[in-house]
Amino acid sequence: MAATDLLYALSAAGAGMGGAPSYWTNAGGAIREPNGLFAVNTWKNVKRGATHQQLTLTGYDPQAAILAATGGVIPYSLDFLHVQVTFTLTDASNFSSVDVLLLDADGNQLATAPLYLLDTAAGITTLGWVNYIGHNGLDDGQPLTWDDLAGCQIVLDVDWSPAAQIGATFAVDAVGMFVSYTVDPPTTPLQPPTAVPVQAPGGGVTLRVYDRDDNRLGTLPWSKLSTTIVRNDLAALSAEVPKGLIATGLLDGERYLRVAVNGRETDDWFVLDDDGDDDANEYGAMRPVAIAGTGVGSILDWGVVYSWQYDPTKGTLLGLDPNNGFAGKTPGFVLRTLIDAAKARGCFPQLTYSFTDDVDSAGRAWPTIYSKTYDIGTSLLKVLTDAATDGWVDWEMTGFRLDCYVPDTTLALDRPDVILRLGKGVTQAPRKRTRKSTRTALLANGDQGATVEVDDPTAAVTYGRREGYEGRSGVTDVGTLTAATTVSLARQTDAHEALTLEIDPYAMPEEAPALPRPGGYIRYDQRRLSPTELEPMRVQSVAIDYGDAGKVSVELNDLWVDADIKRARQLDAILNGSTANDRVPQPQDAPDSLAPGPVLGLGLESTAYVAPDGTLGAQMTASWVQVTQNADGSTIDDLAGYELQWRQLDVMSGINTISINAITLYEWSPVVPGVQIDVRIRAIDRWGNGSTWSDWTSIMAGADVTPPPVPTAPVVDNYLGLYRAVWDGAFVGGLARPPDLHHVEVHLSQIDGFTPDARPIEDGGTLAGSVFAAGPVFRDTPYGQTWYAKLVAVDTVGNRSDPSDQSSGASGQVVEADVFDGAIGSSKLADLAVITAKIDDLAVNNAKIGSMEVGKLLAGTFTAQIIMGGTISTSADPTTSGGVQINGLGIYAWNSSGVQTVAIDTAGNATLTGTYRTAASGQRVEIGVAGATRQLVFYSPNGQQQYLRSETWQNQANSTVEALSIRAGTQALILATSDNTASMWGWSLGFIYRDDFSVWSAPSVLGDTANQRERVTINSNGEWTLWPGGGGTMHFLAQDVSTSSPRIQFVNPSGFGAVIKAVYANSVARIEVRDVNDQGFSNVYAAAFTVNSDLGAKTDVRAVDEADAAAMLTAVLDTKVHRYRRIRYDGSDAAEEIGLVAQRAPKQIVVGASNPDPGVDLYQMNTMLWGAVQTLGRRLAAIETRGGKKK
Amino acid sequence: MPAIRERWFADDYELTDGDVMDVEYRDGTLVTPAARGSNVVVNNRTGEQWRPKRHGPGTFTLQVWLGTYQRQAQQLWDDLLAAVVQPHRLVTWRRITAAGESRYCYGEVVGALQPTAIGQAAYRASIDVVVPGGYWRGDQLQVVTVPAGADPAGTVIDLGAFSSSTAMLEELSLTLTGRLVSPQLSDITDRGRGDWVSYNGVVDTGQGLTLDNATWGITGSGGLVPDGGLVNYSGDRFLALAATPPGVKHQLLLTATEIDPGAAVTVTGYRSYLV
Repeated sequence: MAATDLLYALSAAGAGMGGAPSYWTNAGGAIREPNGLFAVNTWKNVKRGATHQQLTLTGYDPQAAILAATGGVIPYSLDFLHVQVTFTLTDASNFSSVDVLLLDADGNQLATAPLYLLDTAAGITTLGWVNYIGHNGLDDGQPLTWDDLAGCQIVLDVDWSPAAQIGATFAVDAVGMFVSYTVDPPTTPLQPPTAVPVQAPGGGVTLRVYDRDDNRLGTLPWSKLSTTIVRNDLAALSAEVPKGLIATGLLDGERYLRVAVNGRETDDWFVLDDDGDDDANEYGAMRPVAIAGTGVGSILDWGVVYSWQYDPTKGTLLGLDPNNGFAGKTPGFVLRTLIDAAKARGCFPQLTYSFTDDVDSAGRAWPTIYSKTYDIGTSLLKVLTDAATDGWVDWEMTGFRLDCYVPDTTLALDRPDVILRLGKGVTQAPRKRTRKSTRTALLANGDQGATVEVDDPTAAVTYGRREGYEGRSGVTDVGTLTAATTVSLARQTDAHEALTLEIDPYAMPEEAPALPRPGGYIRYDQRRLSPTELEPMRVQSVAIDYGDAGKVSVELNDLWVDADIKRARQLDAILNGSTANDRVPQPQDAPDSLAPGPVLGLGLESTAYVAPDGTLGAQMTASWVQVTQNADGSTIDDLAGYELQWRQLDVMSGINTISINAITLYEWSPVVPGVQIDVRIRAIDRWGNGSTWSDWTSIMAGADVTPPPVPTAPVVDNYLGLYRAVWDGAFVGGLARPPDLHHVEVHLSQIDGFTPDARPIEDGGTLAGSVFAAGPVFRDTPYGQTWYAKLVAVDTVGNRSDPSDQSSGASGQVVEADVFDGAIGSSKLADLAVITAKIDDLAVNNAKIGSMEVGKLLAGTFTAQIIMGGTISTSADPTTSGGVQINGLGIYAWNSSGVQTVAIDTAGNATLTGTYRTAASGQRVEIGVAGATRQLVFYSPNGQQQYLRSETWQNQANSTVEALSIRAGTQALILATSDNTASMWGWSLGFIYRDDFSVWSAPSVLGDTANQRERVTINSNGEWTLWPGGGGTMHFLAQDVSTSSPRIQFVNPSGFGAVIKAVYANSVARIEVRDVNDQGFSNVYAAAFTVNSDLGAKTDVRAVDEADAAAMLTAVLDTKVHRYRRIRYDGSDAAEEIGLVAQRAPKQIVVGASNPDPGVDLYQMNTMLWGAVQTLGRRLAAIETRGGKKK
Repeated sequence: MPAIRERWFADDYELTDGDVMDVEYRDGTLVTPAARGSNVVVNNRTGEQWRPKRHGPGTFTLQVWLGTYQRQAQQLWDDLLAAVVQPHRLVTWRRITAAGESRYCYGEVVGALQPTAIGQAAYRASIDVVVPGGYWRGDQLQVVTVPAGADPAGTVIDLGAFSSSTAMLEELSLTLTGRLVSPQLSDITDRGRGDWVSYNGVVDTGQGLTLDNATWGITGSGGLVPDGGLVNYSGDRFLALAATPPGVKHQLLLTATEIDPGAAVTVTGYRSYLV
């Protein structure tokens, strides 16, 4: 059932819930969150004036819901409870709150939490939920447990404030309950740690007393307290309590003790066994009472095995117990049957167990079934401890719950992170190794004369011959006796070691609480398997002294003990029979018949063994259920025995038949190991009637499932150039070589940390070879290449050990005393000993040739760093037939006509005829293109050609013009020896040249294509002459040196013109227009002559007054007008003019009075006349006014 | 350097006010911890078989003088008791030497305190302090970082910064920075213990491995998750350095089967003093 199903169901019940709350997650995997749903339709009328009411909900069974969800597996742990409630209020006005109470079956409150309410308006369905009840522990600080859910009750505590209204109702529509739990045991350490008080501020250790019904009676104020928890055995507790502090009656009757560390009780409960004190003790009333308890598992000692069924209510026997003894049953079945029988008689009602007939307490299927009969009166505690000693189960008590596990699973928790370091907090570390029980040879006696002797030569090397004896009554088969004795001897061939570490928990605040419970593994820094690996040490027991000077003692055993237990299990399988896969069904009912009923539950076990003569055999053990009924179901009273048939069709024909008494276990040998064996059985009564044969049941003979121990890591080295991996014949932990060891595989790989693959290396695996004893495997690997090696031990039936530790190495070159590299020096080699046949073709090359003098050398490709020779030629005489020759003078080539085409001499002269291209096509430069000699052609990327060409032609004067032209399309730039480039056209630049000894020659730009005339010339003085058309010219003359004035001369074809020059003199710049020779001045004609008179261009502007204007009139009147003729520098006469003379004119209008060429400012002169006319005007008006007055 | 007045503190409470309260005599303040362990008598051999010793807990005694008149002396006495009598924890005792160096230890007052009244004006009392840890340590954290050289003979790490110590350096923190393959640090101090610590794994570039002798912590940085099983050491700590004779420097030698540029060793800790 998934969480979503539940929510759907909740919705269907009328809750109106819209999907999962957002915080809801289903983690999947090992954590599951489904389960109980129960719906109620309880209308609850609230009492008038009630302040609060409790509503107990019914109709749910969370344990059943979880089991339904998990398929019957009890969760490993519970995390929290989640409750959802939907309800309807008819009147919400005084509604206050709802608390959820979780009560146990007895009504004791486990936890409480307020319901979180979504909405509380009247008349609507309200959703409320509470999360995580028990997530941080229940009210007593303990986690939510499976037992808490048994018969638990949920109560809604509804509060009204101040009181409920009349007629108010509180109606629950539906309730959903969800429990978060974990099914699988955690892979990370979640096993409850051994309770160790370390640095517990504010905490402490209390000793609590309970009765059988789990009622806490009180606390014992102890002065001394210590506990010891032992692997697969009862824990123990001892304490001292001052007598005066024990409440009256606290220790009377059946009592249980629990230790709480920091308020949290440990899982180990104790039965109070003893208490006692000494009246003579001088401390009187406060004298110490010594208290001793054993682990709560000791209550199993209060029930024993009855071989018959007994009804205690009637005091009568009901006959033999059909289950006694157990044939082919799981440990769970055996223990459960016996415990249930005892509980039925009234024993230990408080005891529960968490395993079933099929699976252990972690939900793991029991792998093995056993056959065993218990003596009457055997206590169930003995049954349990024997089951642990024999390797059937690992067990521990959690409170009153018995947890049993498949051995070496849940309780074999490895904690490689817990490393006890000697200097850190180990206060004592006594170690004891005993050789007293070591044996190297065993004599074993069975029944009916079966006697074998087994010895271990390897152990005998160390310990000599130490004989032991074992009597095995009931074993009549020599093969079985040999196999059992071999395993038993293997348990005795080495010393036994135990190590106890006493640690100061305060010095190891991290390690001490992390100590696993007994059965787990830790590390101790003084015990190493290799520089990189600490030895796993199994915790056998943990003893804790809780006093002021608290200390923890950890008893450790190493790998040896594990191997020993495995051998004990193997021995048990040989002597009792077991099979991993068979289950024994119950006998069936059938109608009455004279023939016996069929034989059921045939189980087979086979173990390989080495016979005293060294041959390998296999021993067989068959077990079955005693036939108790005839074929018709009536009780059989004439069973005589059984017939057992076996065959090994792969190696022999025919069927072997064995007649057996009326027993249920038979052993025989030898059979051929490693081959399938088929076995069937039938029952025979004393009249010879046989039942139907059972089906053939098959197993592999000698198919022991015990893999060999892990070999030690191989030693890898280089041996004669080969990679050698050597097994030293030893096994990890010093274990002895098992008798059924067949070989040890040597695996090689270039991958670091590889996993061995049993296929040969050539087939993609890693198998390089096998050894049958200590020895090497060689492999030809490239020198220097690192290969990793591991070993895998394989027994005769193919069981494979885990790979050994890895070694690595590489093969290398051989250096040995006889013929190593370089051993034969040249002096040891006879002269002329190396003949042609001893030299491989092409073997002599490169450095092997110093200098070589030969008459003739024929070669294919000739590669040399330096070739020295008189002449290197492509033919005998290339000068006539063409070819290439390199000689002492240079490099030469001739065409087929014997014409020299290439000549590069040592002086550096080079002649290359033909066309020289910088590229075969496309963008390139070509020199001497065929058909167009003397030209350099540039091919642009678009295929256009530009030339650089040397040319000659005849000009108009029929003289030869030599020219260099640069042509790009139709345009050309020509550098020629003459200015008359008759045959050329377009804009050309002619005869511009310069050499190192002359100044610039006059360049000109040829512009007039019709007349072949220059349009621009520049002479050596830098003077430019422009012919803008016709005969007129413009000259940019050299500047007037006296005044540094630049000048432009305009000359018409008749030689007339003018010069315009820019003059700067006496801080005034002006443009002068002079005659064509830049002597006198020339005329300027224009339509208008305008002087700028803008107000904005002037400053200090003021109107002249009448006096000033009168002065102007006076100046005009005082200045004489002259007649004259201008001087012409060409000598011609000029016409007479009138005008003023600057030197005799008013200064106001004279410009450049101090210059060689003073002039008159026309604008000022006219203005002066203007002022004079204004004066005249005023005086005329005055005259007119006076005359009028006179009139 | 001019000598300064010696000062004593219990946690932050100064005992050497110099005005109304002071430590009177220097007698008993410089007591070194006694050695623990014994030599072994072997029959038929002269003398005893010598065994290396360890130090036991340290002790020192402060002669304290309090007060100028009775009422103040009583107040000072109450303050003193509150400061130094802390049976549930260890008190930090700090001493500033005449050379100005601050040293401290963790100590407890286990004996009774019996003041002697001097008239009615003042008290005089001796405080016996036990130092369970044995040693004093300097107040200044010393950090020595040495890059690993390519010299196949190894890199010498000069720990002269610690060499003024008079007691064994048992609580140094060693940090190895990669890349180093199977690094080993060996004590090559002249007349030292010759111990070594190694890590039979790889400390890659950008990673660091810290071995803290004080806490026995093995921590990685830069993504290194160290395996405690790969740490091997010859002594009773990861690496403890004995005190050196005057003028001799502590020296470690770093070796590794593979050293890449950037590898370095950092040694962090405090000087350690007998007293």
